[in-house]
Amino acid sequence: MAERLECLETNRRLFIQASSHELKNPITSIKGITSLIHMKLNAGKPVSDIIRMVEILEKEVDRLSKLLIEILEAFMTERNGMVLKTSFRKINITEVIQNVLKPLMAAESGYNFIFKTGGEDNIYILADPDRIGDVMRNLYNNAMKYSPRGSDIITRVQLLKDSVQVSVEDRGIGIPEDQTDRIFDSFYRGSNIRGNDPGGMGLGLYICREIVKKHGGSIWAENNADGGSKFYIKLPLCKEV
Amino acid sequence: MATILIIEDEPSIILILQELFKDNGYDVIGVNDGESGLKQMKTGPLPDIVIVDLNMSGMGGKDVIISMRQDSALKCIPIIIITGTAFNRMDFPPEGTYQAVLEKPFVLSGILKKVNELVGV
Repeated sequence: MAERLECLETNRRLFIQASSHELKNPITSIKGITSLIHMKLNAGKPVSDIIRMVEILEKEVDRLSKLLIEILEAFMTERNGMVLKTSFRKINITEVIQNVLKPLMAAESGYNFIFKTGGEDNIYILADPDRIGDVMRNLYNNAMKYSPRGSDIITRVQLLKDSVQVSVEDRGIGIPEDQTDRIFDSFYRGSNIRGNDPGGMGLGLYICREIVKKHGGSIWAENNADGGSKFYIKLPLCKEV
Repeated sequence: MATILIIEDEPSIILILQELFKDNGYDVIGVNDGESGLKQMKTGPLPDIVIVDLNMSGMGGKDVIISMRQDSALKCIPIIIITGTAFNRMDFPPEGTYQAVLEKPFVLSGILKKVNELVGV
């Protein structure tokens, strides 16, 4: 009991630290952009300069809003379980993956990772495409966050007997061996990222697990023998023809 | 014209600081990770001041500052830390290796004033 309370307290403390750090970046941007707009207006700068600032402001407000939604969703899920807003429909898993990858692979994204995909096409599952897209986006964001720029991020789609298995492999810092299960707990963050911490609230993988569970599937992670980690999701195939 | 090197993994914060300092007569170079920051200083013109975030993917601000202070060509360049985790002293380089800390969300006039002071404008 005492150990459990200590663990809860540690997670609570880490969450407050991590969330305040995550929220401070968009708040810094919003505060900075509004000051810049004010300064530019006072200096009589052209409207085109100011419009560009307003566009960035909109994006930063969206980012802040998404972070707050993620926090709320995690708390609601802990209390009531994951609730999906849309009904499931037959979707091609490869199309979902490609739609998520497209903006990440675009040269203007500035991400500079080499995304490779392989395996089978035209595998259908019964799912909420937006939420499965959220899961994939989260896995890619984590891979990019903890891997050297310019490294490979490899996606494989494999057809199993009555399910499809998707893996996302990176060349990043990996996961401490004793924590490959715990990283899916709410507010949990791997102990090896607390030095050069690129940020994160410890909610993304928890939400991924709950979404995948809601689809009757499973999610897990392993370390690669030659470095980096590999995340898997397994989802039941659509039985309709 | 003084040159500022900004090392920050948040593109929007780089952009805001670039706009602010360019509008105030500075040359500004922005890079989004510690390795690129050190490479820029070793291969490009030396900046007059460095603004660095502490928490970044790959090499963080703490390691950048420690490396700069061990390099004879970079050890005298003034450094301003910008951070969202001022409460976490583990992320900080040793005291005396940097000139100022500004906690996010910072005020633009505050960072401009601090840069002007340190560059001697």
